[in-house]
Amino acid sequence: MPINKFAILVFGLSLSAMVWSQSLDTLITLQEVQVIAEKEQYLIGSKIETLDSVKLNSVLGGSLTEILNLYLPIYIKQDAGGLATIRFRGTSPNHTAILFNGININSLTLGHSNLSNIPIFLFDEVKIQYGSSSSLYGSDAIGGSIYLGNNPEWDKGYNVGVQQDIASFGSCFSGLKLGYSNKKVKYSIKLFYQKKRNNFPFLNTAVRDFEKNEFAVDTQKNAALSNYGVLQELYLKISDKMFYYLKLWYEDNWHQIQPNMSANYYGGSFKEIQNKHLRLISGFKYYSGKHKLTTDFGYINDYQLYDKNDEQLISTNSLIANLNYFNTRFLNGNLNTGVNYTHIKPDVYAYNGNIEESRIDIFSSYKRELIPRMSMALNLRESIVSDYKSQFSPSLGLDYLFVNSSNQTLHCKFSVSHSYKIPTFNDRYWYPNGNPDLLSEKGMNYEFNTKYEFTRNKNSFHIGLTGFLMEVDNWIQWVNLDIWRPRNIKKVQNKGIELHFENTVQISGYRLNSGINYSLTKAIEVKSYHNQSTSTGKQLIYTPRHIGNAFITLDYRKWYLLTTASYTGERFNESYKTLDGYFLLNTSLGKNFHFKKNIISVNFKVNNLLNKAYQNQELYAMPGRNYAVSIKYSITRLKFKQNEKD
Amino acid sequence: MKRIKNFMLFVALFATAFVSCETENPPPEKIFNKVAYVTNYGSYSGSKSEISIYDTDSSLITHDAYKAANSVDFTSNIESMSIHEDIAYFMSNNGDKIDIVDAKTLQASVNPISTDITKPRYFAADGNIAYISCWGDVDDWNVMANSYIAKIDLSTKTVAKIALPGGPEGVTIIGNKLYAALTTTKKIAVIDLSSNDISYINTLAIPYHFVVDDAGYLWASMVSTYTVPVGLDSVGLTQIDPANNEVLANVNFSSIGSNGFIHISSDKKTVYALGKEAWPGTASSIYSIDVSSQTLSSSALVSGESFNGFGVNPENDNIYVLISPSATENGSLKIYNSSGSLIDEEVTGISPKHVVFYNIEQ
Repeated sequence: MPINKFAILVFGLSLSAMVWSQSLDTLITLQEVQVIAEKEQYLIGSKIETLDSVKLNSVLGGSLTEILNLYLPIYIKQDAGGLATIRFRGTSPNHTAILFNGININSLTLGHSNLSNIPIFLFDEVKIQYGSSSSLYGSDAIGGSIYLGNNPEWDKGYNVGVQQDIASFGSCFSGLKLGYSNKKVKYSIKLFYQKKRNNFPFLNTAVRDFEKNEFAVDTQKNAALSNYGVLQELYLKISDKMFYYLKLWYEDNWHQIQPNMSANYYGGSFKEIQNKHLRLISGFKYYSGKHKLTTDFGYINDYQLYDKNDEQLISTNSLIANLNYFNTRFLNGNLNTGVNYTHIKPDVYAYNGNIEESRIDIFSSYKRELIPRMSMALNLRESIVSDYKSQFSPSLGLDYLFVNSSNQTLHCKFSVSHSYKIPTFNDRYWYPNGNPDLLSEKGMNYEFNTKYEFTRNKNSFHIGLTGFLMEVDNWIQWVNLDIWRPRNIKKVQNKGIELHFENTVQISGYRLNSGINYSLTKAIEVKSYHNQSTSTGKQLIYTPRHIGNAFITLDYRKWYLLTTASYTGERFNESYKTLDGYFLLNTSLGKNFHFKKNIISVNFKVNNLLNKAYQNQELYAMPGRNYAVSIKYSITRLKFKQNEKD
Repeated sequence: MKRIKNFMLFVALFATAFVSCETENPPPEKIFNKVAYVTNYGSYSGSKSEISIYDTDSSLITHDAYKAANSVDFTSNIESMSIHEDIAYFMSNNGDKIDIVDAKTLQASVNPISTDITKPRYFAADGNIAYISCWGDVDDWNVMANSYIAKIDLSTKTVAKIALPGGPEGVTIIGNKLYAALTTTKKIAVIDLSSNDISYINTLAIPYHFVVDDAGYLWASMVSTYTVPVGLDSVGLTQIDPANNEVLANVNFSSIGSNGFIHISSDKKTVYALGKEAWPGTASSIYSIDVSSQTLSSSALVSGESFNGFGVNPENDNIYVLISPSATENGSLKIYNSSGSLIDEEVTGISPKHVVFYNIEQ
């Protein structure tokens, strides 16, 4: 670890220790600090799904990949562990923003995130916003956005959580959560370590033994991974009107690059990648009546080492400063206006010269009720990037509450938004392939949402239907010139419908929670700026038209049984051959044991219950039926004598 | 009964006469189905190679020929294809192997050679011994210290390694010598096949591929690469006398593509070379070099975009241009006559790279 990162880590931990030793006897009523949700209110026309802690817990020590596969109709292209990229509504992996505390953590060199390197264990809440939101979050937010967050709870005393998972094929996960909060201070630290050997057996249908006339029986090689990380969060109430927060997230992700089924059997280049990410974000929030002022300062360092070769180092450093002003009674509505500044300095072995980039975003968002039951939000954002002077991205959202009675509501929403993606640093500066003349990718998104919710006693259900139309122009792809170079080569039109249904029923001690998600996506290359294209008019590769999943949870006297099913439809590979769709079934059985404030949870899980042989990505083997056992211990609201005076 | 005997006698005499006549006539002319095998490299991280077959008589193309013949996808990336004594060899990477199939049917009856084969590139054979350039495990692309020539006994399929650092690419055998183009240096390696002794020919640029002209002289493409950049006045083609390995001529072709693909006409009097316009230009082209005058044509014979490889049909000198717009979509085959007029166009698989012409005996 570089010395500067180590120093920051020590600084963060030292600060934490100081907080633990502070006097804790102040009696002050605190306002709730909602770091993530402040901007979400301006996306009133958009579809937003929240994965709560119950759903997050169901993937045990899994990553963002597993949770999205289980509960949402979004295609993740993945191998058996090390690498997973999202394709939201038929867009590319570079078209989804992954936001931590509102800051996009996508790689600035590659342009996207590896979802397998984002552990769910570190977060209490994951929100998925469908469609474009560049007007709020800037570059990348074309197909969708994912927010990672935690819900700070004040005055809960000490809490401790320990988790240990053991699973098939040499997998284990160890996690520790420690936290403390009173009315003035909240601090939490979460640490995890994960390891997978991923040496699962499979029938290698890519390799025929011509002398025996049968497929080879094989074992997956070079697909191991090892991840560890720490996230600590500190919130301080400095005065009645001022808060301070600090978040430090450090990740060390190592994985071997899984070979395809042919290389796995015959041999080939077996390589590995190590990534390290340091994300440090700190800021102040000042409240005064209807006014609120926030500042954020961030430092992000991304580091990648390919196959232990120090001469192929890829690293970026970003400094971020945000200033936000909120007014809750501005022209009878809510106003947010502000400015973001980001300074980026890459250190990449394949770039020439001393490259630096500054980005300044100026934005305003306004929301108010237009007429009774109808709300409107208007967002305007102007982004100025070193070589991309103006990226104007407005959006407009409307929400009409058709039905609003004591036990049922019906919302109808509409939004239209403009979005963009600044070309990645690799696209522009990789020597000799980079193309500094690339235009930014531009998107237009239209969508219509309805959501009906019904609640009676402890029973509830809601159903949502969404239709969307999106066009992405100047789509960047690497093409074959004398050498491979990125160019703006096509315009893509994506349209589709999405269905969401969830139901909760409680009958004499039983609680049944079930849900269905489905999406139909038609993503077509409608125009090519490359004379030789053979893809115009066709569905984009690795974009299933149909994708869906369903879950059902049965709770009874501390026991719970969860079954999930997912279907990934047929999709084209690069040569426009059809890859088979596949249906996967998982189930888990668990029980919670309560002893006063202590909870022990035991869970047994079977993945791929039907032992389906399938390929998410062509020629990459996936594990058959596999098992996991998880034991969790937690104690919450623990207050010692000194605290009990509070 | 007598009638039957007479009839049998007549038949016997007729048959004798017919047979005796037949022995005096020439054997019936063999009928060939003339095809061009197009190897589609595929995508390195995604879809793998396949073979398209273009019937040069009917002008029809069929795809996925390997799978059709063997009921399994090819599943690795074909770097090159060679046919030697009616057996076709596919040198492929990721997984690394050499497939051995019937050149007529593309059917495999033996398993690929994969032991001691790492990153195989190109094939040359003399009788029962084949020599395949291999890059080996690459720690440093600027050096390729672990590259070698795989010497394969085609009967036993056993592999012996001849160490040859420098990343050998194109190989050809002349007499008792193997010429190997080293892609990290300005040198051509010459291996004495009796002793395995290696000598080198110094060149102006980075050698990639070879053809042999009507006089028996060796022509090598000379390119500039990312790792070893060379001045544009030094790239093009070099003519070498294999009798003494002296350089006879250097023909400057400043826009020669970095993959250095060259082919020769059926009369071996014209060399064709693939050109790529320097960035930010995006044009591709094919130029010709007259062997006798050692001069480059003043203009391109064929122009377009995203040329990924080409071949010259030895039957009629038609030029088969392979076009690959990206690694995530199918490419195309465009066929031009020897004067550069477009004759036909067909869709291929992803990244078509090589054309191998073959006459399938019916």
